[in-house]
Amino acid sequence: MKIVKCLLILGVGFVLLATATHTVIAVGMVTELPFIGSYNVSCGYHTSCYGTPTPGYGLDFVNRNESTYGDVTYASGRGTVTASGPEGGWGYRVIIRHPDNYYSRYAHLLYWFPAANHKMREGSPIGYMDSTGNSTGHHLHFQVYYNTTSGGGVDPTPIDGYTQFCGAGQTCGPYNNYSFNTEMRLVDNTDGGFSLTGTAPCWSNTTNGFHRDGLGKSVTYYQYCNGTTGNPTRIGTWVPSLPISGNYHVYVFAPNHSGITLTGNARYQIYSNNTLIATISVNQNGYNNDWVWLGMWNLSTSGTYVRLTNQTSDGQMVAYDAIMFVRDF
Amino acid sequence: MFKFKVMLQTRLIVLCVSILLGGIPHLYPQVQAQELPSAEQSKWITIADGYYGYSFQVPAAWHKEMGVTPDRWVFYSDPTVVTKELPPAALPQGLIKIDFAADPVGHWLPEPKVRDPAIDKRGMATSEELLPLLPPGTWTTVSGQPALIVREKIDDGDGPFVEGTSVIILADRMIYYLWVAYAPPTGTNQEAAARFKTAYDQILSRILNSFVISSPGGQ
Repeated sequence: MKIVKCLLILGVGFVLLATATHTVIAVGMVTELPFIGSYNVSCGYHTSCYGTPTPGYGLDFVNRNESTYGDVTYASGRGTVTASGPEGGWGYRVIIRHPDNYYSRYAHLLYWFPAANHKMREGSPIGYMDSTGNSTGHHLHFQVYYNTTSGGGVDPTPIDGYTQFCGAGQTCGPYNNYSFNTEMRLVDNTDGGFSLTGTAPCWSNTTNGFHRDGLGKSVTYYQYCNGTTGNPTRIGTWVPSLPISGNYHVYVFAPNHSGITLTGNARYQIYSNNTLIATISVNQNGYNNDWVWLGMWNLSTSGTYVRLTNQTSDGQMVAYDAIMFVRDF
Repeated sequence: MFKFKVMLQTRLIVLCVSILLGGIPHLYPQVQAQELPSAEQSKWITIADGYYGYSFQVPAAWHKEMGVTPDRWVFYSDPTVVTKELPPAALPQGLIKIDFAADPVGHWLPEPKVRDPAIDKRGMATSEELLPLLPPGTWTTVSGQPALIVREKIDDGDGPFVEGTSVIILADRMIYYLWVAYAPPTGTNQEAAARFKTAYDQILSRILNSFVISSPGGQ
């Protein structure tokens, strides 16, 4: 009899799981789930989740279909990064202050991408998930606060049919998200908006760097080409499809370059209306999976692109990864 | 009787839901408090990478796991911890964990209002200009380089009570970061807990004494 009841409950559970398709959350300007794909909450509302969970509104997300390790976490709303890097038990974490004074925290990361003061929008990639800090399993700890970044935070209520995520310490899901409503545009080196022309030898890095599929996948994270002090023999071009003309923060992804010496003088040329408006030099050796800010520029929906040749002052290799355009707010 | 039946039904529902969703934290096996061997008793091995310019020792028996590249490592004092279905959100009692990261200084950009962001964010600043805003701690030297030691008791993160030590080593072009933490064992007497703490201190000391920085490549 008990087995029948159990099967009945499991059956109802599966039906509920099959129909749950959350795409957004609602806490002020924190409006999006911080991942792409299908995730479960492995520990509901908590600050601490060992033994008896400590009350709070943190949520642990785990990938339902594969290891969470190396998955990309995304900004859940537009805002300014107030802290990134290690913080004791939180491991490597990013904190974003949203314009309405809500804060969102993304903890236990493997890499953090943005730096303090960087402006991010919904869906801006901000790190790879891991288990750093006070944790033994791969997951994303996501927590929302108001006016502070300490304490238990506030309730990130899911909408689309549910009144709240599962109870303290409980598991629930799935929560699905496959796109962001955003005025951010990202062009990766594997996207259609990127081209790499010329004759200089190039290689693909399939270990580390940026890719939406996350780390540990058999994908091209970035390409790198022989540099030259003479005339350029390679040209990379990123062409975004901007939603509206206006001021944009332009970020270039400076990838992990383990074992590869890159140029200290990569010259990114920013064009709008097919006119060169700025050339910004970046030391590609100085970073490790970071968004590097190229400044805020007034960009048009037509004729906007970023160009990077392999012409450098040191003749070292030049890496081509992602570029992100974040509309100012 | 009715209350008893309701209780039984509730437990059945909880059991079924936990089977469905992979279990609730209370059902996970717990790591038992263990007696750590002292630093002298342990066999040690060297973890090193020429490109990132570091070398240090860890107890050979520990679980060792490199990231996708050698700029990231994690170590656990209990080599079986990754095979146990522990709740992912905290260190179990009686476990030591080490996170290690080696990053070019640009990965440690400063906090707001500290430096000129127009210079820092393009990676053209010197390492001195890029020094991050560091938390209060004790300065020392590791492998001839300045290092900041920050000790903390965690009560705000994931876990009820963890003692941790962050070590930030500022080399010329790289910043090395170690987070060495443990959750004190429970279920043991105070003497055993004190011995665990002593072993932790010795292990931390041995790791830092073994740390050697060489010229990193790719700079």
